[in-house]
Amino acid sequence: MKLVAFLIIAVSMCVGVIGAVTAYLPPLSLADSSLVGLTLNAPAGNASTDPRAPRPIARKGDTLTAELLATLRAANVQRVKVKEFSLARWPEWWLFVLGCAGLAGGAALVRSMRAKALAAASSTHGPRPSGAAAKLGPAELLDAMRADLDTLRGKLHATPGQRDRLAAIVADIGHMQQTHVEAFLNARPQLTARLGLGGYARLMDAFAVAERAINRAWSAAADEVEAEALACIDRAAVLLAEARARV
Amino acid sequence: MSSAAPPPTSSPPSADRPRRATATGAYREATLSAVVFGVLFGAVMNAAITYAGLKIGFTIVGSAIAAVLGFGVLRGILRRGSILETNIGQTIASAVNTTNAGVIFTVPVLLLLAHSGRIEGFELSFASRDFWMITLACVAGALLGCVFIVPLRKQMLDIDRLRFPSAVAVAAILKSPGAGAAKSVVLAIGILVSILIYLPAGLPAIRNPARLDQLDSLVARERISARDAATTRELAAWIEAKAAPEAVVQRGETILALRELREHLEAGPDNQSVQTALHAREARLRELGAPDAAGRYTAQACIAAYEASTGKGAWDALRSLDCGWAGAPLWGYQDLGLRLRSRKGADGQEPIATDRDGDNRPDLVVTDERIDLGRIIGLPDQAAFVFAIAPFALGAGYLTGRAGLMVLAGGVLAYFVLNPLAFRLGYVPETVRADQVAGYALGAFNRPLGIGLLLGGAMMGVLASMPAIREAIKSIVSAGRSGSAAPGADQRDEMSFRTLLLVGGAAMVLLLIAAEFSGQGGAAQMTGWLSGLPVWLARGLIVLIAAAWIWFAGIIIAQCTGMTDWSPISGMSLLTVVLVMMLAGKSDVVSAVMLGAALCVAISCAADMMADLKTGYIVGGVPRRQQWLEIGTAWIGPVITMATLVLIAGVNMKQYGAPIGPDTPTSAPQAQALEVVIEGVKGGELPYTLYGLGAALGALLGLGAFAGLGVLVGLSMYLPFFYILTYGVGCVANIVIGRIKGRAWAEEWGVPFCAGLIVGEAILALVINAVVLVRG
Repeated sequence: MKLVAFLIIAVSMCVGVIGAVTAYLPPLSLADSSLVGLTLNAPAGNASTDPRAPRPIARKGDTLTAELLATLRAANVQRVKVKEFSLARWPEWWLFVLGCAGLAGGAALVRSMRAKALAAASSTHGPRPSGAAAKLGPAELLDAMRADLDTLRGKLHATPGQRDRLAAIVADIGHMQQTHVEAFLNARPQLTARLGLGGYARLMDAFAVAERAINRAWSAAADEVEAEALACIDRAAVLLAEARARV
Repeated sequence: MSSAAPPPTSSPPSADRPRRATATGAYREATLSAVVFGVLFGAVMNAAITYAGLKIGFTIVGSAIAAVLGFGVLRGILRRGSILETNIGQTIASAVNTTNAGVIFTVPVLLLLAHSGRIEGFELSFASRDFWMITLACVAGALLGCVFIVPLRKQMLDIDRLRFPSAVAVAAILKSPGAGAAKSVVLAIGILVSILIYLPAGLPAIRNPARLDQLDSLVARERISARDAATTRELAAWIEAKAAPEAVVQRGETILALRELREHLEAGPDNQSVQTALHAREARLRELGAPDAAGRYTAQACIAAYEASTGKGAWDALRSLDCGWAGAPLWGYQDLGLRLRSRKGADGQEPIATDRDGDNRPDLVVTDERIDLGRIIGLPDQAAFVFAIAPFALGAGYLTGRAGLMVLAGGVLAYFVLNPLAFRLGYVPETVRADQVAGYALGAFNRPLGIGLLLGGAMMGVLASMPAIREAIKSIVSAGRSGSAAPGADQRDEMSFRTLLLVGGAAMVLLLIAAEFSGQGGAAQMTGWLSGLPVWLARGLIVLIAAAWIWFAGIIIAQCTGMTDWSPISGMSLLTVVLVMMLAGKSDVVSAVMLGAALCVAISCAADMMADLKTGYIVGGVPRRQQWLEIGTAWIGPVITMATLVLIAGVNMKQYGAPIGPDTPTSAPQAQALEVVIEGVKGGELPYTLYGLGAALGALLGLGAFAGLGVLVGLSMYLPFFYILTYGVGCVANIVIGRIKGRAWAEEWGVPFCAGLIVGEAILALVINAVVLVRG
């Protein structure tokens, strides 16, 4: 079904674009009265048989006259590109409208399927990608991050050498960034389904400050500024608790 | 929940204070060293890239280079720069440098139009009002670009998590010292691979005067034309005979006399007799005409011939590229000589299918910059399946990942569906051959529809993100009141809303002053849509509309850069110029281009600031500090670029009798393109309906899968396909490697490698440009 919806969108896009392209290309089958006086915006016709040296019958900027139209029709020219647009000279407008209708229909289909999928996901926790962190829900991931930070702080208490402590911060936070933080960010569809975009934005407002504190702790540890790294870890723990409350 | 902070096991004594901490023990971030480094490096880059951009038509943002150099200077030489301090350095350097694109894509068109007499009364010198007004407008644009984008940081980075591939690459560089030796090695390998791939693509830009015995080989390798070779042989004959044709010598004498008169005029007060002499010499030059029917001899060749024949110079001076002597480029991919298989007929002629350029040899399928895979595998001519040799596009595609496939889909739609169908259905002129369809379609309908799709897609993106934008702005406003963005944060994250309003208001006033006093100024009557309104009111409305447009265009550019790393700045500036010409009238070109320049500067600043904030996010920087420093230094960029432009135009005027353009070493290709657009607006040639139809399709596309889809598809219709294809290879590589090795592996090792690909090409391009500039 999903494939069908995206196929509808892709085909509609092609149809709409093809329709749009003809907006400035009135067919010469139209009556002279609607074409005479228009200005060409591209060369028209080809009076040469040598493909290396084409020679247009009419040049860009020429004005269409009854004589010129007759010459172009005699040369089997089907359409000309003109500067002026008019709905009356755009017979393929229906292609464009059809494309738009298809896009709207495809979009409606995608949205209804997405809503159903999210409803199913939020009621059953839905299928998730493999990997330990990816199996947790958003709230559990935040809990896991806070637990990781607590574990790290305990480890730092027990580690005597500064160099070892800094190495532990870089390693543990680096691991957290790649696992839990990444998995939490991938949970956006479930979170927006549950909280709405406004609620999700409020949650991410808190989470982003926490994540930046985590990132800063990593940088400070890599730069061997231990006091800053420790302060950031503490701040991140508080901010993650705030984010957890918003879930 | 345990959130109590454990005391540090040992407080570092001040004597052992780490080098990355300040005297008070605070983590080094926004320091004087970082600011000085950023401003100095940004200013040098700005001036150099302004010249290079006028010469070759594109610019480099330079964040990645600044990050690498920042490490060298702050950590290597000063031995104390932290990751965040280097981040501040690159933030400022790119803020000062990034504005040059906005100026050089737009302002030089005024020099072209004024020099050809199509606008009157315009002068660009330090003494002219127009120079100061345009500079003022660009400074206002820089401030507005920064101020407008700050409130969207939370929505774009915290909530929508836009990727910003180059920003991720810069962050990878910044983090490399702490990321472990293995990742640093991977980053270095990425840089090395990028340099190795790009070297044969970039090296041919460096050319030496060819030896006479090389000429036939250069023609055979399609490095120079037969005409270039013939000119070189003629110059060689003059050197040999120590004599040049009389017409050439006379022309050289006249050009030299004109140059001296112009210098005289510039140095002294307005002198009527000098003016008269100048006009007489100009008339003489016109009368002399070109010394040969083909117009092969450059002004420099004529001058050198005159000086040599009068004993003022050496005949060997003719052996220079400026004199039209053929250049032998350094080795590049094109020298591999990979061509289509010959299909010569009984008449000994190569058919057009294998010889489009008509030189009776099969065409090259690998040039220095591109690989034409479509012709190698025999695809129909109207489907352009050509890959750019661009490691940065490969890296950016990888860093974008799956989302980038939508960009590829748009390109496939345009180049494999729309263009072949348009050709088949007779929607392209009969004089356009199948192999020329891609080039014709890009200008005729792909680009207008692409710009429309961008606009519609961005509009839908803004509407769909409205709840997030509202929450983000609410958060900034409440932070301004309470002093904290989120509970638990001990410092304000963002600049306060009040400060943003103040700076934005001041910038608007600057823009209004510039609009009032530039070009036709307040004295002129509006002839566009606002005709009939009092002039002061019409000017005010134009500035308000321009400011609103800057805000919207800034969002488009930031979204494009965030999702793909590409930004349609020239397309947006084109629309601005069109918009202002519609509002103010088609005759007020100076105001239109000035506001176009302001917009261009604004949106490049907006995109740069968002990318810098993304890097800052990844390394844990405080956004407010970056925002303050970016706003505090972004105004420097337009001043440097405008000053450089005036200097170049002045020197060109003296040397070549033209301020800029095809007759000078700085041809300003982007300005020439804008010149065509301005003439198109005046002649009513722009397909406004296609923009509107594209916008409708873009908005509807955004209703479905995700709101930004229209932006991605529009961008790929707007850009040349060869970059999109290479970018698409990067996206596919990310997905395939993620499937084979796992997502974590693909991120952990792929990101530093691809950061290396982006940085390597940027560094090499800078070095090659520097060599080209130094050698003249």
